[in-house]
Amino acid sequence: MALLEISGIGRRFGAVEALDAIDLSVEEGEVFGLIGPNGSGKTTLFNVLTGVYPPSAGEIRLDGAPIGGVRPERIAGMGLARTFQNLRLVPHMSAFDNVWLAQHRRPGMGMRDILAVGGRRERARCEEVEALLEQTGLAARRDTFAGDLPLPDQRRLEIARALVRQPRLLLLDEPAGGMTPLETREMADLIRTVAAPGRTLIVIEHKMDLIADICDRLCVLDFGRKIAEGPPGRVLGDPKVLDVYLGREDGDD
Amino acid sequence: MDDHVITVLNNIGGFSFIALSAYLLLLSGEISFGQQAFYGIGAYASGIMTAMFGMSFWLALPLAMLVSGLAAALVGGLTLRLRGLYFAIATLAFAETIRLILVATTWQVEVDGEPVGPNGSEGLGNIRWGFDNEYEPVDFLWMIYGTLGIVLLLFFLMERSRLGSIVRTIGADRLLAETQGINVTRYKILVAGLAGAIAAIGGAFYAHIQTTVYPENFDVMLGVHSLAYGLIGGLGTAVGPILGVLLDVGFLEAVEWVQGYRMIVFGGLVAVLLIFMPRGILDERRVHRLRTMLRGWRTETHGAAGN
Repeated sequence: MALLEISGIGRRFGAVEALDAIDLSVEEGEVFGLIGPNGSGKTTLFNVLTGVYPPSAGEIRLDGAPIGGVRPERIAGMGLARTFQNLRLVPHMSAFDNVWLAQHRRPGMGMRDILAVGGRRERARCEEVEALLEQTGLAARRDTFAGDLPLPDQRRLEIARALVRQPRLLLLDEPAGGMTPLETREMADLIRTVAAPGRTLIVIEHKMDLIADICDRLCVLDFGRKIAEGPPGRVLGDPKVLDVYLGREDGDD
Repeated sequence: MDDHVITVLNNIGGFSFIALSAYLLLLSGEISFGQQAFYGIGAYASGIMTAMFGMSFWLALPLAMLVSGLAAALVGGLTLRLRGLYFAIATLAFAETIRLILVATTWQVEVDGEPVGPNGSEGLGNIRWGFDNEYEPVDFLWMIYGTLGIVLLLFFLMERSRLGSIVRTIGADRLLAETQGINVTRYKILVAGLAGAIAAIGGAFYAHIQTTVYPENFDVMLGVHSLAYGLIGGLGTAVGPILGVLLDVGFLEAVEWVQGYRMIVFGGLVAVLLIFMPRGILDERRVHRLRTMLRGWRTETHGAAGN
């Protein structure tokens, strides 16, 4: 069975059908790309998956358990983590603390751990945070306020914060958004290391070379509908996709 | 120490509790104009217990905190869905309701042949516990600052624990908190209840020093001041709101040449600070810089001390 099973998902905002009968399934260990023009419903799909909006129709299953319409904090506790396209860090907390705070909902964490100051178990968890800052290239910036970091570092910090929760499914919303070609290549390397141990990822991205580079499969949305799905080579060559998406790319961000 | 100094110090200590109460809510992103209600509930509840039922202050204090904390958690639960301005208005309305209930309530019992108990706008008098036990103002000084020391210590521990970072995350970005798995509802009620209990401490001391309290003592100006203390002193550490109290009560109120202009100076100070230091004098950035400096002096390295 697929790790994530989406069937007939719809989300309506007033008269706008932001998502219309989307079917998708993402296998364990897959890096799945989600592309489409601005306003095609990609981030809305992330918001529905993470419980920010309940779906208006359809069903979502994470490893068999229904998560459609479940509160975001419950879904987060079920092993789903995400990053945000428009960056949501606590600006007046250090890089270290932004990652550290996300550990609280891990299995085995009780009220005692929430109130603990120091201690052996706490030290082990802090070492884990340091290791993730190292992995994401932020070790030297651990004490810098998140709001003071340059944009590429903020995006990396969001990934570190998501990873510290040891998610079964990780959603990355434009991880290379606003980055230079060099920074984008570094991000591709990071995503590959993140995916290496068989982690399941869904990545929204506008940068086609990045998508082609890292994704096993991808799906294209347009006006809330799925118009293509398959391996990058085939999907990116599909004339329908070229027409709705790549043809309009210049106008986007 | 002369009596005036002791009175000023007692006021600083007493207001510190309500300032810390408003500060805790500010950390969680809520602006409450109603913390004076819990200060008032603390004053009345503890006063009723000692004056009417002969309880010891040291038993009445935790009980008054419990009563006030539960009331605050209840109000917090009812106003959970309200954000920003609407939350502020609801807290103000609640506090005014409590004040008017106190004005309308008369409930007296006979103690030593005298009627004792809340008597509408005449207030609750005869809170004689301090007098009966021959406590001088200076004794209350030690009691207040001892309790304040404990509360501050708990604040420091909270701010180093995950609870502190959870509260700050909710205050910074509610949606982010939810997607990080934080049960925002549960923590908001917890914070509201704790804030109510802390405000009650200040009220309990106030009642037992004054020996008479009136509903009008708990009007909206007290709530506005308690909010302003955190905003002036800073939201980066629990020392911030206390610095705010020191500036207002210790300086503006105690120094004679600003007497007549106190509210003008205070209002101006708040306005100027909100423009130039929106999160107060000791804001997160300055506190962070101070902590980094302090850590440089100490040799020990502490993972979690990074916050």
